[in-house]
Amino acid sequence: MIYHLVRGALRAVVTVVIATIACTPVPGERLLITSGFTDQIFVLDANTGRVTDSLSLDRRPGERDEPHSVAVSPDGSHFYATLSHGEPSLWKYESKGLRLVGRLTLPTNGASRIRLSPDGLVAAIPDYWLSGGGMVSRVTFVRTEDLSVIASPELCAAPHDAVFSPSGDRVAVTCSLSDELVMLDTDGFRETTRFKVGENGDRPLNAAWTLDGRHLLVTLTTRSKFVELEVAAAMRQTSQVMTGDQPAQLAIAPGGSTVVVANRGSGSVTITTTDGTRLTEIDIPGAHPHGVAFGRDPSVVYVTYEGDTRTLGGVVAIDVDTGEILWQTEVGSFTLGVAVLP
Amino acid sequence: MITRVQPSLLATAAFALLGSSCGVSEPELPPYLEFSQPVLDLGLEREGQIEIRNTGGQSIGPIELVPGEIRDLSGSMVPGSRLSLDPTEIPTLNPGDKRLLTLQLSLDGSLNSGEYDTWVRARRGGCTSCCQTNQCREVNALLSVRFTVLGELEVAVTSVRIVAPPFDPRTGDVIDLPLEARDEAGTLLQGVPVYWSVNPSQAGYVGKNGQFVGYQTGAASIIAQAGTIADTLALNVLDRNIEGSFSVALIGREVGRYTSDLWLHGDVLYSGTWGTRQTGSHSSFGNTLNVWDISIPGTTFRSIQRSFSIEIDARVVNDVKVRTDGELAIITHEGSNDALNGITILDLDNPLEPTVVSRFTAELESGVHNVWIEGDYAYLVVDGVGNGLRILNISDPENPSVIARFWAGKSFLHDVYVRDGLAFLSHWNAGLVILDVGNGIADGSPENPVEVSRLSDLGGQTHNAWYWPEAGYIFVGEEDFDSPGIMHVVDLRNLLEPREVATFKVPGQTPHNFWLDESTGTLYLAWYGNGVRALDVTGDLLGELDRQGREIAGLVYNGGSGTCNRGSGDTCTWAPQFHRGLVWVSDMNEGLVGLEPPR
Repeated sequence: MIYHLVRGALRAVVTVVIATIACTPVPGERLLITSGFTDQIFVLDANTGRVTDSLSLDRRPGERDEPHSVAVSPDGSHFYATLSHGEPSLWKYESKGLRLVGRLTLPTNGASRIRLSPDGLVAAIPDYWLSGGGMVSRVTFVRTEDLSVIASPELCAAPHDAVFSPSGDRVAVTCSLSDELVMLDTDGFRETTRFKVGENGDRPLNAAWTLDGRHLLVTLTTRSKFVELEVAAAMRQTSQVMTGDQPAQLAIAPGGSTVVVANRGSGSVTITTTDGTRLTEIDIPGAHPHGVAFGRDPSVVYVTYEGDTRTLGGVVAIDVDTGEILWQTEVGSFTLGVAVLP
Repeated sequence: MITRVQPSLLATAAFALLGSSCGVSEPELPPYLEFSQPVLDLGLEREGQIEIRNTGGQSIGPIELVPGEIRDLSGSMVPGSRLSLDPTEIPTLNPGDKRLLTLQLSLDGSLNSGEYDTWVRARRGGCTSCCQTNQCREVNALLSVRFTVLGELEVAVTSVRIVAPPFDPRTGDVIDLPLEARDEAGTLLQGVPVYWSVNPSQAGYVGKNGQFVGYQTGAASIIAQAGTIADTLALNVLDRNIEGSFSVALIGREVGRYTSDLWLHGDVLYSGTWGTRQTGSHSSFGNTLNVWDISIPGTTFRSIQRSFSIEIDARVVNDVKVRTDGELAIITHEGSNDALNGITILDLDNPLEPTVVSRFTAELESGVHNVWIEGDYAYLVVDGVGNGLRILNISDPENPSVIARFWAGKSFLHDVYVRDGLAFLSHWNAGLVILDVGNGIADGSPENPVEVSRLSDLGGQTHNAWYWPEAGYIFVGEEDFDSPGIMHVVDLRNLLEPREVATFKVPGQTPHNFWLDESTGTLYLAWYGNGVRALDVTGDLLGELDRQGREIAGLVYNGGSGTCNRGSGDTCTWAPQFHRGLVWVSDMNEGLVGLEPPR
């Protein structure tokens, strides 16, 4: 699984076409989208992009609370969101009725992405504390059943993503300010491996496990690429793929054949195949692409874009085979998180 | 297919949608909260525990645990004493689950002897948009808590006499009532615990040392009891007799963007902008500083003219301040595209058309929420837990530098006010923190701020403060959207030992920013959906100011349901400033309103 691809040479900018629906997302699926500057989660019909509902997380209506991330439990029964401003918190909802059933103030300075264990019993929330000036901060592990904190180990400077392996026995933590990847054993949440990712200042931000659990893909946000790491006692980088500028989130499609990266800086999305035979970069009709999620259909990916200080954020659905944009919805401001609700 | 979603409509729709989602058909057994017993009698103890259970059939959470105020047997609130809970919020309770709750009393050292009571309410929280609907608030449980305070010298007392004041007090006037307690030999006893009460209880409040304040006009009986001996003093409480009203004099409409804070200097008003606002199909963002010429009339009746604006890289320009000499201003950045945030320093050589001197971002990348300028120093509130205060030397505005930092060790800093060499930090759940930044009381300086004292127990969510050194009080805002919050008055005549002495509340909404006209002792309070309020804060302050006839006037100038719905026409008052005879307020929805003050 080696990619010998160079950004630019193989960049194929696909003209954005607001297409009629060429392929069809799975009927009944919904998208959850966080809007950081209106303090909301929007619920969209994944098939059409139509907004069907919204949830206010506006705990302090005169202040900014900033919903950041959203994640859906594997059985689809619950979803979780983080608020990163003020005193960071984790919110738990029942999917049925979109009903709030819990909230936990996190014992950390910040909160970025939520990741759930494959069985849905544990949530991991890193403390992405950039303004700590490089001070070591934590990843908090929360039992989803009762929202009790299981562990909150101090790991590294500004951890941003903490991803459970497909088997659930390990968690890979990207440490953005120390340019490391820390591997934890979920039995006690103890560190087992620490690996230098890229060069100083590369800022590993987000990660995704390959389906076989043998490799990790990690975006390096200042280096316009993601790297593939072989997960072993002695980890090593096995390949890299050039992307657009400032790659943010990435996701692997169900089935594992396609990787999609949102490039915040260049306003594009990189679509590549895991065998390295194809690399496409698509311009997104919105400022600062950020979040990436697949539903059950591996041919459709959903990408959020933040918007900027003059434009709204939003979300697009993209046919990863053709690069066509199936629909676009302008929704929210500082629109980051995305998850698919079955 | 491009779908454009209007945030303002969505914000409005969200209430309806949430209302409907909250109102979806419930399973047969909804969540049900109850304490393991309805009354907890602590007796002489100061700590106790009780269980809270979910005996219903659904999960519930978060559960807010809210302590009540402590009241004496006459029903009067006792300032300076408080009930603390651990935890204050339970993330979730599944059906059949229970949690142990610890209650701890923090009592003022010289409480009157007697019995006291308070309460704890457990309720479903976090459903801010459907708070008024049945699902959010009907799930709650109430616990009554009682305790007793005993004196030591009470048994020796054989006679008690309250010394009558030479005049009849008005409501809100604080009078000292000397008391003479003697033993059988006629010897005057010192330090005898005295239980003070008022009859009827709603007539007023009497403090631990015999300080009385009237709440209503007419007869009030003040009762002092030492041991088994009591004396009663009859008082006639007079009307405070203050009245007035606001009237709208000028309006500066800004309905394209939400308006945040304001600052006036000379003939110019500066106002910030906030968040994302949708007007028709157009979205506008909080990326702008508006400049208004208040010296000339606008194009419409009673309007003022927006003469200039500056766009910066931000989604929120939360605050703007002008230095006293009028030569420079600072505006704050939050949510910038470049993720650097920080501040922009403006040159006000032409105050109607400020020019950018510099943007400073080092150590301010997470965003700056508020600012205060004092001479060559800028005090900056940096967003986020763990960040706190940065003090900048701005003597060279083109090259500012961070010279000091402070964080209270918990929660986050929300606002800063500097006066007489003291920096007053509104530090959210860490409370009010006072720093010496040149006062001398703790050898502090801007380069070396030193903590003088802090008052942690102000109910949390400490949002803003205004210090009045002449009177020795600081007025502190608690921005709690759930309870809702109130204004706390803290006695700072001893800076080393701040203590809360009084409160002020307006039902239904939480306060926001304050401004004190010290020449008349009038405190102007922005109160979101409850508009602007004018409060007489002359004289000593004690007890519940909202019950003392001290509110001179309140104005909800645009109407509304008192909910401050963003994007609607509702009144949503953010901040006041008294300037050249008018009270100017910024309103999130309306822009700016200039009001004739009530006195």
